[in-house]
Amino acid sequence: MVSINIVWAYPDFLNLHGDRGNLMALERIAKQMGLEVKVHRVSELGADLGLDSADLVMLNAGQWCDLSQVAQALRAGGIEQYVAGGGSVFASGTSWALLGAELVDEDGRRTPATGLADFRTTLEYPIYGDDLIVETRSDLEFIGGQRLVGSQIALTWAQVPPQDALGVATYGRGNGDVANSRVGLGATAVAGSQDGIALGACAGQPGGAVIGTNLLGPVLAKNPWFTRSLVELALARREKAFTAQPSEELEAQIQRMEQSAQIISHFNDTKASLPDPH
Amino acid sequence: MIRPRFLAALWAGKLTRVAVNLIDKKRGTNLPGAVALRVDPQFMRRVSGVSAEKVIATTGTNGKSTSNNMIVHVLRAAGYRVASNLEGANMVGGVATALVDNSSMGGKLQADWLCLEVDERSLGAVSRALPIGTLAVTNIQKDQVQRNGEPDYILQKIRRSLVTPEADSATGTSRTNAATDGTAPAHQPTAPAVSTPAPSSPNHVASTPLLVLNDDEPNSRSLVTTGLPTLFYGVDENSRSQRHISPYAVTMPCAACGRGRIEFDYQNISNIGPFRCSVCGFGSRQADSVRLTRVDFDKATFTADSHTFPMPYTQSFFTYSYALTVALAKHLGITPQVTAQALGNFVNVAGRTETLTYAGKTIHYLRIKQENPDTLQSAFNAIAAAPGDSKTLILGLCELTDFQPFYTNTFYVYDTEVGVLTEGGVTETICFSKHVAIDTAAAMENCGYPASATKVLPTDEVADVLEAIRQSPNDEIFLITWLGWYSQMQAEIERRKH
Repeated sequence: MVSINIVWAYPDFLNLHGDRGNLMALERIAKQMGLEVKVHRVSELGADLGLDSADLVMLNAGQWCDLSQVAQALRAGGIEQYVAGGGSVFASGTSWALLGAELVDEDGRRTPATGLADFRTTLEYPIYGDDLIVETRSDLEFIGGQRLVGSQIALTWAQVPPQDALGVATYGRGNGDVANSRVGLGATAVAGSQDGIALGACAGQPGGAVIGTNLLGPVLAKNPWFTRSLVELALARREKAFTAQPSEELEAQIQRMEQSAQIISHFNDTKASLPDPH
Repeated sequence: MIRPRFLAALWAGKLTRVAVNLIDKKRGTNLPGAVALRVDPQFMRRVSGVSAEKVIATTGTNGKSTSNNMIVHVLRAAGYRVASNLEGANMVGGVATALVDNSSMGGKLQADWLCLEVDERSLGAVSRALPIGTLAVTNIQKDQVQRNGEPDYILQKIRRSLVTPEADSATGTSRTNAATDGTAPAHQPTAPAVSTPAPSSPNHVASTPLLVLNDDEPNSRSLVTTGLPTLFYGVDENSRSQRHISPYAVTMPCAACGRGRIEFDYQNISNIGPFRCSVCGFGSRQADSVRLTRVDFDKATFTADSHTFPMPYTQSFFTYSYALTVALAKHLGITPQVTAQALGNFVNVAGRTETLTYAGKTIHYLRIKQENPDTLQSAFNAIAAAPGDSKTLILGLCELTDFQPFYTNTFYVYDTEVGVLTEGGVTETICFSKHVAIDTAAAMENCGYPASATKVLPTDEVADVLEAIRQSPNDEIFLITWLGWYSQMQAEIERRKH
């Protein structure tokens, strides 16, 4: 049986918005696909990440104030070599900032992130909470051309070249950057904004995939079609030959969450007309 | 110019109170205070007879209303005159209202104590206007993420409210992602507050309070690093303490050092229980504290400092309100006998539960806070602990519509342990909401609740939910949803009776 080895990195530091649900969904779906699922939980900063045998490292959303230490631990744990060797990383919520080069505080102080990608993430206030709907780039292998639905609690903004973004936000703020100008806070539907990042995720590209998104939900629970594709992508990057077994349960789950996504999309299309209680 | 404006504000506030009482005396409001502040923005600072030793503020994520109400009740039982914002208006307007209502026509506070429940985001503004002598903190947990983002955001807000303007500008308190080379802690404690009260200056407020901290809650306990004098309270292990660790259990980073993770010996309520940091050793029971021991939910009693107290409210989250109150009462020199008598006849107006009957069923309503996994978990635990082994849970989480942009967050469900529901006899769960019923049901199933026992009701219509209740095979129905929707159901049930 083919196995997928998941590193659940620092869950006590990175579980801000029910994000352990990402692991719950990932495990469940991977098993439904016919995989043996091995989860290596790494609790302490500085503990061995077990990257030699890992296929996918999960970085769930964490507090901004904790990110620099997590980044340092990931660098020290060999995350760069891991990706170069074909291992994939998935980061969600504020933690996708870990994938970049630097973290920039409100006062301009810069600390290093993992350096897996070349972008900077800047902390800003006020907090912006809203739904987020993303269309992933069509050129991405397995995960391309998909609609992803979730929410966003935005404390940051980051400028990522469009060709490196995970996709376009068809609703919501995304990375908070539109055409090199920072999106005004408090904006509602900000179509055209980028979301996240996706590197090494196109056919023929070497190394592992580095995927980050602002989406919360948890994103892998709300979008099981994406989760299935993410698993396939991670295995492909490790050159593990695998064909998913048919699963009625998974198909039913996908159908149900697609229905939910439709309802939520409609809600976001119409909510601006609803009276604000204040 | 100051005095006439202040008096105008005060009297305008009092007139507003008269008008509000004519409409509905029982209705909670912050209107008198809001009017007073509109007339004189410095109104609160100018009320005389307010000194730090008289002011007790209670803040935190969960339990501040109950705790403040309990403290007020005990102080009154001890013979003191107490001014308070009992009605739960806990922002600046509500605090100002308490001052309007309890001041003489000349603007002097007519009370021995000013006990205030203060919203954690408003604490800074309140502490700039009033000298807080005692600050009780219940807990700092995940809550209303659309407003608060992260618990650290609230923790830093509270820390900043404890620093005088002088100390603040000297040390800098900007929220930074401090680089670490592994030797220095990432989370730098703020400088200890400077104790220099200058009551004659309208621009100066020094908040150098005695802190009353939850010994079992890591974030609030980390406020001990401010260096301010501190009392601790906590609750020992009892029949409802949880030691079982699910493979998905997560805790939090240590707010004292930032390098370690919190490990709980056990949890009395969600994410609250004796703990220790895996790296720096920061934790519970490192200083004297008043702890509830021998908590007996059947006898409805607990023991503290060898005295036995009645505990009429036996839901687990109440134990920490009791502990806080007993600790503070002891510090204030109130005898255990007086405290015990008061706790025995305390009525919690800030309650989160109500009961209705419909179609031969009993509907138990449990109110939770939005985007707050810990109150949701408390509700789940309360349902599990209720008598019976055939219960129905009606879960209507709904989209968040407090302010635009409205959004569909249900992710806090994933921070709960739903296993307690099946263990506690919940044989059926109906998730209702026009927009997020499917999401909620999926969350329950992903967290381990059986899909076969879950139903989706994609509606907000009260009639549809009442029909589902009528058709339920169970007679004990537990409803978790927002207060507004519950009020509509309550009204509809009443209408159908007549």
